[in-house]
Amino acid sequence: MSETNSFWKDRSVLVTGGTGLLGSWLAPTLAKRGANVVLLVRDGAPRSLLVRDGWLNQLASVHGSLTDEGLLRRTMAEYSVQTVFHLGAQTLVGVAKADPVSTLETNTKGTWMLLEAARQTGVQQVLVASSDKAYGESANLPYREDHPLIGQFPYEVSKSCADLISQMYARAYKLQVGIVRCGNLFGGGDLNYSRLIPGAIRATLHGENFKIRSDGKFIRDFLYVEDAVEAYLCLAEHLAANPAMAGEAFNFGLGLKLTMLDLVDKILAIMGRPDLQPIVENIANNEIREQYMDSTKAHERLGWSPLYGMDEGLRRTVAWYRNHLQNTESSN
Amino acid sequence: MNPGPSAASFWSKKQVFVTGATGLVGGWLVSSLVEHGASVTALVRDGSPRSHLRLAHLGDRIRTVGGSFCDAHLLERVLGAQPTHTIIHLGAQTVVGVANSDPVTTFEVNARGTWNLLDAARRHGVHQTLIASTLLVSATDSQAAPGQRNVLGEAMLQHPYAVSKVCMERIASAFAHTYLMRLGILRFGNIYGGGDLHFSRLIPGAIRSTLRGEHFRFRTPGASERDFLYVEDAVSAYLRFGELLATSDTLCARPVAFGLGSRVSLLNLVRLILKHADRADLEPITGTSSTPEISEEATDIHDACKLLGWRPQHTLDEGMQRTIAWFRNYFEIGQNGYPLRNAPVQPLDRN
Repeated sequence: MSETNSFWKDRSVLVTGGTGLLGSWLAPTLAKRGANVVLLVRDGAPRSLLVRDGWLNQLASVHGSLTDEGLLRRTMAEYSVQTVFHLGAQTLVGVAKADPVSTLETNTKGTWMLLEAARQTGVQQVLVASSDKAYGESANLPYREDHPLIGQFPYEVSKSCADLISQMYARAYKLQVGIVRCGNLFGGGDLNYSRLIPGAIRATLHGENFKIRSDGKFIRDFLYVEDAVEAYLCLAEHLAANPAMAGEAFNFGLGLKLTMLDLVDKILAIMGRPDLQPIVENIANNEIREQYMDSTKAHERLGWSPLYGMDEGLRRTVAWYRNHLQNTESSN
Repeated sequence: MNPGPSAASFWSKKQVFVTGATGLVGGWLVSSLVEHGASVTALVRDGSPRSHLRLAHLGDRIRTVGGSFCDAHLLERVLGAQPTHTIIHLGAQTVVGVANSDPVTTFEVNARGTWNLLDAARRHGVHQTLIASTLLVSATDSQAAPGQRNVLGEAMLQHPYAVSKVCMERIASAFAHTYLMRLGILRFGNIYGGGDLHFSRLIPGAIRSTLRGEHFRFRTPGASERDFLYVEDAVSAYLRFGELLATSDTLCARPVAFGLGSRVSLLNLVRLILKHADRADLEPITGTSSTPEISEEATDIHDACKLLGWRPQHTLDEGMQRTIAWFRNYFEIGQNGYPLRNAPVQPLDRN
């Protein structure tokens, strides 16, 4: 639907976390559909896809932190922002454990500061990136949207709180808030090779056996980044057409229940290297074992379904890394 | 309950840091800790004359620090200066109307203040922290069965105050879980007693009008039912919780509810005040405001009894008699009615 309608044409859109994986795909998509995009950028990120592909220079950007109230208000007012995609967050679980305060400041306080600035400046709609991590550990899987938000670790709880505060702003202040709970995103541009998919693809391209630190039986819900982009756009468009939807959260996942070993097998098959079986180190098993979502609500209420899914998403991702690593490694 | 000799010896010489010390519970709790021999540092944010007076009767028996727990540097200074055994975190923005008009301040105080405090406690090796929560949070606990909406939880989500307290509990639990901190979460509903000078609240307001010989006016029919706990019973809950948490793992990060365990309608509550003030002639005037009145369930205090051996020691009649006596003292003699023991009484107006 997004390709053909004019919803985004000349729309003023603020994207926080614009240089992250999702932002790097979302911002160019918005620009291609005619939106006037402004990015909130905290730190310089020379390796970001947005920089490499030259987009950062073509889009307006303001520099600073989510917790800078004056900056948020100024940005929203000066650019007459209509839609905010709030993707900015401290997303590394290990950093959150080492420094819970800065994670809570960015993820939780940053969210209430942004929502408050949006309320005060009359922004029409705010799409908030929550996460399946906001649900916390549960025996009651798959997660549905009405599952309580009971994260138990600093990163999780920073997301649980941000999600609850977003729901509250919609209900108490009639702000048009849409809450997106995606699983783990993957796609070209993610240079954090400690993550499973980038790590496995790089190892395989190098002809190495990928090392899995856990027992390989953990289950996570994954979503290809271009499918996530469409999920955000789709929810924003529906929210504008049906403001009664404000404050609702939507799961967007594939719900495939693949173990990490299954996923690595898929990657090896796609890359034509089934011989490179992973090495299971079995030394890091203290994370939540299983997390996956039921995305029925998004299918039924928004008509969303993933365009690429797992296999095509992986093929595109592999192609991106193949190209990227060839370029970077041959230039060295 | 009377904390008894074990509480006295447990708290003796313990370094205790109390936030929100000038609130209703704080005033009574600090007095009680001092009586039990604890060495109390009280954090006081605003220097309002009333709150100052409420601590003044303790004179130099406590140490006060001026400032806010939202100030990480201040926490660093206080907790770094001396080893603290227990933090009792009562400080919060608790006024629902303020939360609606100023959600950011409410989140700063209730959510960010809590993570600042717990992070400082973690880094300085504080033995245990007790935090004051609210029964409102219970509504968001329950795991919704598949296919059912969590209706109570949904209703909470329109209230910034309730959400700020939910966040506070979630954050506190994450600290306890991740860093193996000893954390007590005490959930209370309505607490009343001498020292609550928010006369917009029902009990102080009704006592004041009764002592002035005026009819108390309800905007509503006064039919909704609530659970009211007397403040000294809340104090005994904190003392008991701290005493047991010091060595028990089962209480750690497990929210426990405290209340009287029975309900009274607001109209009958005011009649109770009239009875104990000997002004049964001042029958309250009820209104017909159609604002929906929300009745509360009686608090389930099963866990508090079973896990802590705690029970309220004051019936509503007894608590109200004490409360009325405190306010009589406050209005008629001009002195606050905290247990004074050895400390000299400070006059209400020192000028």
